[in-house]
Amino acid sequence: MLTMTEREIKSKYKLSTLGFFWIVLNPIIQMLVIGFIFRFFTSIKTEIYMMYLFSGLVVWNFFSSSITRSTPAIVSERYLLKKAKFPRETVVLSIVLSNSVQLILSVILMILMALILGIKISYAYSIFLPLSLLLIILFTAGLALLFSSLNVRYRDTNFAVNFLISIWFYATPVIYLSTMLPDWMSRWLYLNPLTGLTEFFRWLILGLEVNNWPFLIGNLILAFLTFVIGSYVFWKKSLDFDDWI
Amino acid sequence: MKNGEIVLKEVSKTYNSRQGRNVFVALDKVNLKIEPGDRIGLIGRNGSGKTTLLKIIAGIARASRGEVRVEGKVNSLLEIGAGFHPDLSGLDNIMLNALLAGMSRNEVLKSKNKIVEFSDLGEHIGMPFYTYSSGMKLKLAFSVAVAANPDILIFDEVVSMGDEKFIKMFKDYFLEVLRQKKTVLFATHVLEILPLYCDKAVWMEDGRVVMFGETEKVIKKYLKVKRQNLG
Repeated sequence: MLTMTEREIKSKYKLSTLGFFWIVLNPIIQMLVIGFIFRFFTSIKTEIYMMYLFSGLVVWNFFSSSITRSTPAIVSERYLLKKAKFPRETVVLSIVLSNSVQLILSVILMILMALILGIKISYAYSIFLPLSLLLIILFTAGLALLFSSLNVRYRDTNFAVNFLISIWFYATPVIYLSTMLPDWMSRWLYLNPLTGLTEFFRWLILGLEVNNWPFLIGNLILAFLTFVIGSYVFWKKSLDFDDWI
Repeated sequence: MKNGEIVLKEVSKTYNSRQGRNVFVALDKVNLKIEPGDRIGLIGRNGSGKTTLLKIIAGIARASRGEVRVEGKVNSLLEIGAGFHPDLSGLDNIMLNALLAGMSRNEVLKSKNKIVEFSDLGEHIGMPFYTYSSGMKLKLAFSVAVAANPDILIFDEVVSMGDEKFIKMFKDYFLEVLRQKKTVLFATHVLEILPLYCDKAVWMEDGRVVMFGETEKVIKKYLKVKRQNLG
């Protein structure tokens, strides 16, 4: 598993000139562009909004890139799967795990940036930060396993997921604050576990107020359940992968 | 059961089409008992079920019905280059491929030098895999397969696509395997080489085992029937 992850990271960046620098560059540029445009729309202080945006993008980029890369993975690695016997989940989990390395690096970068900009970081609950990241990773892994195994038999899954991801972005408080929305609307946001996961993460690191605690806790449990269900479906389906690829 | 033993009882494999209307029978109630150290050649036309049989024994596909019992570590070379990553170097690929073949990280680190030596790739070992010629790819694949030390080895049509040099290399490799007294399964279209490598043969037709016995006898009968069908 670790070697597959290493393979994933190495092969991804080995032949590019800037290499690992891309991990850092990507969210920064996104943050600057979106931040620049949004300063015309919001009355929030720019630095704080930038941090808000950055923390949201860190989580979102991890989630979306893991899902879009994992969903077709079983099918695209068919030449490996059809020819060798090994635990099938390694293909998907190595993608999620290699993205997790980027996620953790981005979080470290984010903390450094906040220190440089002189933005107060709340350390009070920082012991929960690993838990928060773990839940984000588990939720993503659960969906990645689910989608990738469904895509083996139902190839429409990949198209549906790509479509879903582009809408999902707006259903997650990445570029906006859930407190900016009317109450009836922000409640619906919690149907999406990523809302709770992102808010929990922001509460821990930026000390931002949480909109709705009971819903947030529910989200965290839902995220864990997603992992359990995704793993189960994948395991069930993986026995017959060879028939469909 | 002993290590290297394979027992198939009434094994069938059916494939459904995506719409679920058509059913294709790839294996039809196959019975087979293979002893440890047996070297079995599989012959039969394309689509007779050879690859499906090998895949089920290798654990890649699941039998639809019947009982499959395979004892010991299996290593399958179903296609050259499978289990390697084109962008990684030969060295990195040794690690990747050996782990896929079921070695532990420590085992690989211990036998890495031996693998490199056996592969005879010299300075190419540090180059990305996509720069390798097919012969070099094969050398690396064989070297790892030897080091992984499996109880059962499976080959699918490996020899038929190679040239003379390739066949010679395969022979060297096979002698090494013979020395270790492994169970070997070997599907091929090149009947002439079969007696060199295999002491028994399985003749398959339409998903069924037509004949299982000594290589020479099976080939003789197979050719006879083939000639009759032509004439």
